[in-house]
Amino acid sequence: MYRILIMSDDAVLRKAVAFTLNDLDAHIECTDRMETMLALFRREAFDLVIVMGTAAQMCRHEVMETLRADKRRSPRVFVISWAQSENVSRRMLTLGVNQYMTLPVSLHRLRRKVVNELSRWN
Amino acid sequence: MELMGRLLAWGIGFLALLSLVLVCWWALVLLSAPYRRRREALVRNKFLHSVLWVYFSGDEEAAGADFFVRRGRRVVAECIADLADSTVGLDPEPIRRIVRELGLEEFLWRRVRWSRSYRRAYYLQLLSKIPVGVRSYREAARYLHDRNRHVRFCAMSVRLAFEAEEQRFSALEDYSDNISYFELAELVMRLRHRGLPVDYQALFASPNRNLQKLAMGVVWHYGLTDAEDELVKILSKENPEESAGVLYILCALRCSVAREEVARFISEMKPDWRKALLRYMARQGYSVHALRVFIPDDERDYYVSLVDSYKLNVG
Repeated sequence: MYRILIMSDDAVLRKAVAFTLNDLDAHIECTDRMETMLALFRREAFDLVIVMGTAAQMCRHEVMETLRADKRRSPRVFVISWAQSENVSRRMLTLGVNQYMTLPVSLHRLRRKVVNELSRWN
Repeated sequence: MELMGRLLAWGIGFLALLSLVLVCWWALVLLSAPYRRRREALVRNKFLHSVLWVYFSGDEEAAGADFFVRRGRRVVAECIADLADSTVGLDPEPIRRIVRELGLEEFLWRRVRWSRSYRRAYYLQLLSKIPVGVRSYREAARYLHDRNRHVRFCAMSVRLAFEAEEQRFSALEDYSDNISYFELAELVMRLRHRGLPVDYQALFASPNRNLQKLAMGVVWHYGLTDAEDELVKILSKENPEESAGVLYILCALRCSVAREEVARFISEMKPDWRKALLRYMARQGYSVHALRVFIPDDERDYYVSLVDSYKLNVG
């Protein structure tokens, strides 16, 4: 069973994405703050982390360091944010984010990407 | 004298009673806030679950309309607006059905009529994000001349949301204010959410400044480099603000700034405006060589220092 962690301060978006992935063979945890997300991640291993909101949060030093700490099993990291400029998406990919999508997000497309990513990784 | 004393005593007594009532009411509002938040969270979760079930299961009916009529149509309207803001590509039919069944349009218009200022703008904004009918199109016209600019803008957005399906923008054409760049960003995002194509060339050809600005916003947002000629035509000393906006868009699209009309306009700009533009151009990666035609030596040195500070490798 996969473990998916979703972070977003927007309750509606958080619920919508969690519902979209509900029927996958996955245990889904949601949180509304970056600090809680990192604390959860340190406690348990997750296969996929979806961060929604501002891409700027991902540029904090401890975020990717925490997510990539275990070299044996790196989770897939999706970032979904409002910033559309090429600089930002390039920066995210440089940091090690696996997938960068912009808001507004297509829930069907996001689900397809998650399924593809998890099955490829498996 | 005695009468005056009595009147004074009554007045003080009345004020004291009024203060007591206000303090009790305020305490009640504070104490009931957690209960209200819990109730709203419950309504929000139930509604989201219901509507997402419709989208992902293929069922046509969202369950429990009665629950939402009794418990919180404002929260339901906010959920629909949030869903419209954050997601794209969802079929609008289930939402239209929910809006009809719950009478959301009438409910929100009642709130608009009974509120003022930014509260009124808030409800108008909600109306602009839910699927509405021709009734809302007509009702919104009443608020186009409100004293509050935000109310006027939100009323115009309601009308524009109705027209956008048919590629009409007469609501923006009739709008009495010049839209600001913040308002423009909001409009472009709304068009993007609806995923509708926009004929930007027709908008550029329009003499209306708001429609031209909308075209500029669309070109910038979608990175349409084909629109370079139309953008350059807008450059003019009569509209310095819009012309400055055009320059920023040309730089965002990485168009050539050595073009005669563009170079001439930049060289004639006010120095502080040009300096701000140079900072933006450095971020976009324009080399000093590309700017050599129209900037003075001292500004060229400033530009070199900018490029060095951004640590960009430009040709």
